Amino acid sequence: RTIVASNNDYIRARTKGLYQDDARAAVRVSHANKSVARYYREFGGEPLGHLSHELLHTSYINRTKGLVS
Amino acid sequence: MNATAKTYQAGEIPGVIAIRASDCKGCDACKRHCPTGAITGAFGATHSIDVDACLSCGQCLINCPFGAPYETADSVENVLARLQDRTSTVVGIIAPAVRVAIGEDFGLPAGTLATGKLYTAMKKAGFEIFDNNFAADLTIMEEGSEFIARARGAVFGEKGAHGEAAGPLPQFTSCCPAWVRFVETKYPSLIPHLSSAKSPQQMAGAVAKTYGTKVWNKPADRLYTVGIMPCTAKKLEASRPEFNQAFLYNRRNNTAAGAAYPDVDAVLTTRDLSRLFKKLNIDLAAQKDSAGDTLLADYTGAGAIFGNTGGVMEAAVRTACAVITGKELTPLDFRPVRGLKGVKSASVTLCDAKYNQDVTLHLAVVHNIAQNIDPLLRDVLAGTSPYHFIEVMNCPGGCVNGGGQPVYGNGSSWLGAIRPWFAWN
Repeated sequence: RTIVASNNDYIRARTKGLYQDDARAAVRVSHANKSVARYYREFGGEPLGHLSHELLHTSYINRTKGLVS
Repeated sequence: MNATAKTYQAGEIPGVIAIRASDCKGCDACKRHCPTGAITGAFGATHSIDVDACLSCGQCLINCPFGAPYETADSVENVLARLQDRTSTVVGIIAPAVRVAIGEDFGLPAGTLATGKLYTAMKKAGFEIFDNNFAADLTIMEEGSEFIARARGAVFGEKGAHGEAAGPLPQFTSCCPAWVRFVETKYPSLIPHLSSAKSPQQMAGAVAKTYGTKVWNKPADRLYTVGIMPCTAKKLEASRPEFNQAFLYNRRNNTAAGAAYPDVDAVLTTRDLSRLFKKLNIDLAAQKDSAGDTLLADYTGAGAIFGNTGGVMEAAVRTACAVITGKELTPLDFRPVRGLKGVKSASVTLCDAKYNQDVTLHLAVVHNIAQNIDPLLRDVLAGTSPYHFIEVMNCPGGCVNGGGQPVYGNGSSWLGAIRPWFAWN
């Protein structure tokens, strides 16, 4: 066991680290992020709004047809 | 070698991962981690990667016991040069999963949450900090709103602001560039199901070079944006030619006159950043904690968990619940989507305050797509999928185990998978 590393051991350790970051956060929901709200107020408008579509959304490509690069 | 590549747009890195023939023993360990069967070569013979099938996820790289796969794109020297160039402001966009893994490269135990040390080390190296967790929160606002629109479209026939029909259900998450490329190269008919929201990295780049010009008081062409990612596929994602929306926006608003620039100029993996720190003699483990300097480093717990399988779904459920019902989810921990089970599912019934009617949402979370994705996609293609929203991450465990993370156990992490075969266990 000591010489054989287990994938899941380090995955679980890192996973726990991120849940710890969440558990100790003062704010735990995205819609209450005051700086995100400020971004929308000062610049971005609103979710799914005009500027959001321009800067924060994208479209995808059918890559099965043979693109030329 | 890539003259015949057919699945890349002009300007894209045609495959981030290659196999060094001199190091490959032909042991086939990589093949069991490849989600697309892109690795060719008989057992015992030197293996190679079919770049058209490859997602650039790097799972072969972190699991090869001989260190044979390597990255074809390395921006460490370019970023160092920018850090030393006083006319450039270098913005480091730090993904959630980096902070719980980079400590391993500096002797800290696996999973150590090192946000404060990482900030300090990055500032010493000369970076401004854009915490990608901020962009994760932004992603939830966009992708969550999109999901609510699709759900209300399906249940109540609600249309978009311009009378357009909502997109189809289930909605798939779109944060994972390997998953997006998987759909684009294997299941293009499912493209309408992918959320149109960009990944946090690409949102961060576009925000940094527009709104961020006011935050740092620098013109966009002086900002050099660097994704700091647990992921090799992020290098390919940043090279997609359509990701220059900040330049197009600035040009329309007459604040960009010179040459075009991408939203994200360079991507460093966690390993790359460790290498950069070591070149600058910065010992991450020895740093004191510090906080972010601007609003673009503010984030919530929902943004923090984006790097775990289930984290995007949990963050989305918290916000969707508040938006749909007008009340916060209690408790905020949404346990059914946590853990390492291959496919996790959950149902939540919420009273839609806008229509005063209960709506039951069926959710699924998939990771390690090499093993787990095909049955779900078969159902979606057949129109029989019970789910409304599906989170997909390519790598086992999600971004915390991404192909750009420190290689654990001297490159023998794959041995965990065959441990049951050994008598001494």
